[in-house]
Amino acid sequence: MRARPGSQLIITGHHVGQPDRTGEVLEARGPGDTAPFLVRWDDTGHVGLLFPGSDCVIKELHRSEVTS
Amino acid sequence: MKVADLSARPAVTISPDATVAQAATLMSRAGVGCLVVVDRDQLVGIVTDRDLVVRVLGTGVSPDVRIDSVMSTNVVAIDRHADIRDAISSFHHHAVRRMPVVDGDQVVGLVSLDDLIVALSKVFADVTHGMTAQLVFPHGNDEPPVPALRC
Repeated sequence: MRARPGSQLIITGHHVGQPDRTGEVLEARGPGDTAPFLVRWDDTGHVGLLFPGSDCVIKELHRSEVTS
Repeated sequence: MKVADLSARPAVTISPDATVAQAATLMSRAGVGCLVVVDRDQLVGIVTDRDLVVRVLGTGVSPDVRIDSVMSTNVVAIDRHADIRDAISSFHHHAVRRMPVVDGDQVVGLVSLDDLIVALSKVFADVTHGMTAQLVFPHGNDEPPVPALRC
């Protein structure tokens, strides 16, 4: 999975009523824009590192999907 | 204090195609309750002894299933150069008890909430050492605070 700064990261909810969790990718620390990603989470404003799973979707700022 | 100062133990890793039984055996031999699942040097998940109890024993799943079918994904990590306050914030915001410690994209260790509490308790003990001495030996070199009564 690859992401660039400014991309939107979405982790879909797995249970009924569980909202998706979204954040902004600030930095990709792996080679070739791969994980881990430094993410600012929209719900808390917290900034932290994430190794995304297969249920995670990355969207560019213009909402065109880069990869998943 | 940096996260690198907390993480005294290297992370124990396992391949995603290992079985649950192999993971349990590795946990027992290594004396750990958490394994980092790594595929070709890339972190893909994390599995704890609790996961094995809840997701395997609790549901009747065979111990021969692959570990990547019961592991947790979307793993929150912490940089080894990060300040300890960043680790506290991550534990708080993500409600996790363990986080892989990374240097760039490589896993270099594992830090637990227990590690954090132990480190903080040592700092707290250092801070309170002087106060404790004053409480145990109050005014050791001073004159008696109350003058003798005259009859």
